Amino acid sequence: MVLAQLPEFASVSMLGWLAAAGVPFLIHLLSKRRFREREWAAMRYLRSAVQKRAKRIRVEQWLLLLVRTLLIILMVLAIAQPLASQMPYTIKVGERVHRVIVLDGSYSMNYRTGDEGDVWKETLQTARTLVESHQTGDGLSLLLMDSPPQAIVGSPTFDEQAFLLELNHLPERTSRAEVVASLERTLSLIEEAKRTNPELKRTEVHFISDLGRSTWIPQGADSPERTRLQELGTSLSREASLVLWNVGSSRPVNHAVVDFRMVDQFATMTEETEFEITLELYGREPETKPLQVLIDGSVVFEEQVSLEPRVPKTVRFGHLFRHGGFHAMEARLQEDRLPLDDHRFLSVEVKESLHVLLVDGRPSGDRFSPNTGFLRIALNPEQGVASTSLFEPEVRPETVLLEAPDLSFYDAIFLCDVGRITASEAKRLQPFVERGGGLLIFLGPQVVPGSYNRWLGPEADPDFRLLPALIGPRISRSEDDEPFKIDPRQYQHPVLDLFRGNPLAGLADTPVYTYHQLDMPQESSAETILDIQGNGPLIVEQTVGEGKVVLIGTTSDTRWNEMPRWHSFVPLVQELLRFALQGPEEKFQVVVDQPLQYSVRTLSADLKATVTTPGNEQEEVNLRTSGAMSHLEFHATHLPGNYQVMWGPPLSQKMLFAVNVDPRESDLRSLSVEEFREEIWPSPITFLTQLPESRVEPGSATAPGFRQQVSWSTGLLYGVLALLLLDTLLGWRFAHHT
Amino acid sequence: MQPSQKYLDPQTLASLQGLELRAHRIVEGYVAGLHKSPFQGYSVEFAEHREYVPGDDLRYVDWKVYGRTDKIYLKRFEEETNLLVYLVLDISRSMHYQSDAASLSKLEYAKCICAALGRLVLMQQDSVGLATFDEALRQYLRPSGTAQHFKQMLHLLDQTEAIDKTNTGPIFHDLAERFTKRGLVVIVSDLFDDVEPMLAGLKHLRHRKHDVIVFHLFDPAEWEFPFRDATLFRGLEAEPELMADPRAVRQAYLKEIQAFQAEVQRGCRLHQVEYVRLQTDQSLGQSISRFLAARAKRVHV
Repeated sequence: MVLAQLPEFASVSMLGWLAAAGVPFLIHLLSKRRFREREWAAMRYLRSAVQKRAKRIRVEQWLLLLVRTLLIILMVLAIAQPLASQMPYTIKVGERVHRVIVLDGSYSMNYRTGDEGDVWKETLQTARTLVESHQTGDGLSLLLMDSPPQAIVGSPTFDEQAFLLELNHLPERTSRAEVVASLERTLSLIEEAKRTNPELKRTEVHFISDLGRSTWIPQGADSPERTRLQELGTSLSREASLVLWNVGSSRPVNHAVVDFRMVDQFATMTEETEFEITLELYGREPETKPLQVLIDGSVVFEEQVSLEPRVPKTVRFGHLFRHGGFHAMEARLQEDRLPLDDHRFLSVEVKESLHVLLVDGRPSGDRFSPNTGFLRIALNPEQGVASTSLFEPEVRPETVLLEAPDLSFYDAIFLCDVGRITASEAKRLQPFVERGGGLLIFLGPQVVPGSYNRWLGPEADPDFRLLPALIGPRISRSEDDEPFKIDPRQYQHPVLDLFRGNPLAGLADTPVYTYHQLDMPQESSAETILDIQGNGPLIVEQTVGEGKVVLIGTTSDTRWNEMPRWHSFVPLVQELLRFALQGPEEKFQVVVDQPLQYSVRTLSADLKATVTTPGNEQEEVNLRTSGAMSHLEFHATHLPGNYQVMWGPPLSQKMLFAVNVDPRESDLRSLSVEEFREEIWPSPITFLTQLPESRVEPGSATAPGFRQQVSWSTGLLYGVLALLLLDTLLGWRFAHHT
Repeated sequence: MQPSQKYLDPQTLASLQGLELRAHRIVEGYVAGLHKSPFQGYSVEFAEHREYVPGDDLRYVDWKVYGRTDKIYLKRFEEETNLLVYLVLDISRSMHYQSDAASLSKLEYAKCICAALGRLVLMQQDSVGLATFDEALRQYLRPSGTAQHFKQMLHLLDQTEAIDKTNTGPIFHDLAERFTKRGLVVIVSDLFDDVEPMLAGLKHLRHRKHDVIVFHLFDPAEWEFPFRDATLFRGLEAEPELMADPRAVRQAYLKEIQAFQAEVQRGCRLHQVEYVRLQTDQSLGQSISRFLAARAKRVHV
């Protein structure tokens, strides 16, 4: 049986040229009317020849006419591009088929193609058509290429209505499609069905996709992912008949907010916070679009932005927050045919102040303990002058590391000449850093390097390694010798941005008499901030989890150096601290379908959290508890927007998460058949296109790519070629042979 | 090509006005081109009288001699030593055909042949006669060896125009009856007629002990059929018009015309008639050579 109606044509107007099929007849008739006249002597022989050949000549003429007429008809049909609205294969009666429908679930499928339709609706309609055309006894499976892929109907179902119900309840697309994982899932689904349903003799896989380049082409020409993709294509083509339905729009134009982030390390109420928005235009013509930024629903910034095709446009603006706590931000570009990526959300926690713990390893008992006193002044130099201060330092002895109920109360911890680190201390410091805390370690005469290296350094358990370098022996110069000089390494590290081009700040002139040698392990991710001239690193840093660790090889007071007395000390300490605090905000920025995760220390066993989604739906989430920590994990982040998490009693704390779409899907360029075959899928696959009238866009009567490659057109063109050859052959034969 | 021989070329002849001039040039050109005269060593027997014996034909009695000498002498021997050449020219309308590739029409070409052969014959003191025909015998000039006669013959050729269709069979029979004295009959025609009656006519001529040469004339287009466009062919001899695509029928036509020519040639061979196929774009040397060969044979019999 052939699943078919009459074929549709991509260019129906071309069919008018079928009238040209009458041209050979017309020429034939005209040629009978247009002739030369000639006197002729040998008439009797000519007449005899004509009489003998008359019948054959007539047959030859009709044959040539037929060939030429057919040639024109085939040519016109080929140019009109018949779209295969019928299946390109036949199904033997009685042969049961497992039909697997794989939908491209990337959010580019939401592209609107008209006032009412969009690519996703057409995808669903194509899937329905495939379902409705199945035979009784055929099995149906449905797989969504998502992140991760979802087998909506895994085992073959024979209930068409149930299948259609699943299809109709698929939500709007907001995520990316993981192609490799989806194909692996498809393959395993087929293999499983062959085991469980051996009565299904044949397998068809129908991919329905817009063939987005960003979806189908893995990064890098020779990436293992691409190789894997080709392997999967080969495996699938061995297991099943493959059909790829191209439902992509022909000339999509899209603009998007591809990035929205805070430029400053953290937002405070004391100074304006700077933000950066990046916009992209995926089209051909420049456009000017209005951009708005909203904070907690109120517009705080507006600008007309000129966009150039494929040139990222960056917009910066500053805002001074009046209130602390979490704020929901949204950058909003005028909506186009793909509205999803015209909004980008940001969750910002504005700190009223930053709590900094200064752990004094050698408290002096005096009011001014040099070990931490210089630091305290450096962190809050305007104490008693300004009404508010960003940093709130708190000096505590080293016992605080074990006694403090929750280190996460602090944003950063300074260890100042703390002699020994114990395993218990390491166990408390590690999660503090992992979850975004900043740890800054000043060494000193009391420091026993072995204990640091044992519990925090390279010798520690991999889970507790915090030190960016191995603390080596102490290196000193006597007071009679020339002190060590600091090498700022051409101010390459971002911490030193303030000092760059400003030699009078005196950073390079700071005398250092004693320091611990710091040995950075090979293949370490640690970076050097400052060196001792000709003698290796003095300050190094490393990111651990979401936090940062900074190790300073000398003291925080003047015993081993003159830094605290140098005017570069205050900016250096503040910049080191700002750097160490960078990052905690990132945990509140999530991509759709990725879980919201957060952990808090609580003594309550039945702590709950309520999540309010962008659709204003509230969901109570049970927390997972391990030890004194309660972990939130919320997976239903399908919609982009700001998600509010309200921690129940006894915390009663509110926080916001921003969930955004992956901007890679905003580039709607699609693959042509040639590109698909050459770069991705050399294995056998049939390409088909459906093009209802509603999807024809202005100025794109013929779409590039697949429509030209519909097998019917190719076959017809082969027919044209064959007829051309036949015409030439017949013409030659009739003219030269009797 | 030697300067003297260029006059055998139809293109050159076409540029010459007047049949006499053309004949003169042809013969002069041919003779000059020969290394050795074909007439060398040839001696014509002088006329003599023979006494009458019972049974002789009284028409040949030389009455002048009888008047002077009272003896009956016959003039028979004088006549027998001369060669009689009968030029038989087809002037039917089909002979009027001339294609773009040919410099002369078939009739003009045939006239050149006749004029040239006539001049050759007269140069050798022989007699030449001329008969023209189409559907019927149109003109007949009895053989004679005088210069005046030759001029009369040229005048007749000049004045001759193609008139009607061919009817060779009856004509050849008629001529066989008219040419009472044995001679060399030279037929110049395209022979576009029924082959069988025509061959019967030739057979009749041979039966009368004539040597016969047939110069079978074709225009190059009749032999090549080089046309391409659809053409309405109008017959020269009042045949119905015929519409044809030349490319479609060319091969069949060539087959027909070649079969006709082969049949004529075969028939001539059968009746011991000298057959020469000529095309109007060919040199006339071939026609003269074949004629001389036949003449020599005839004289030495």
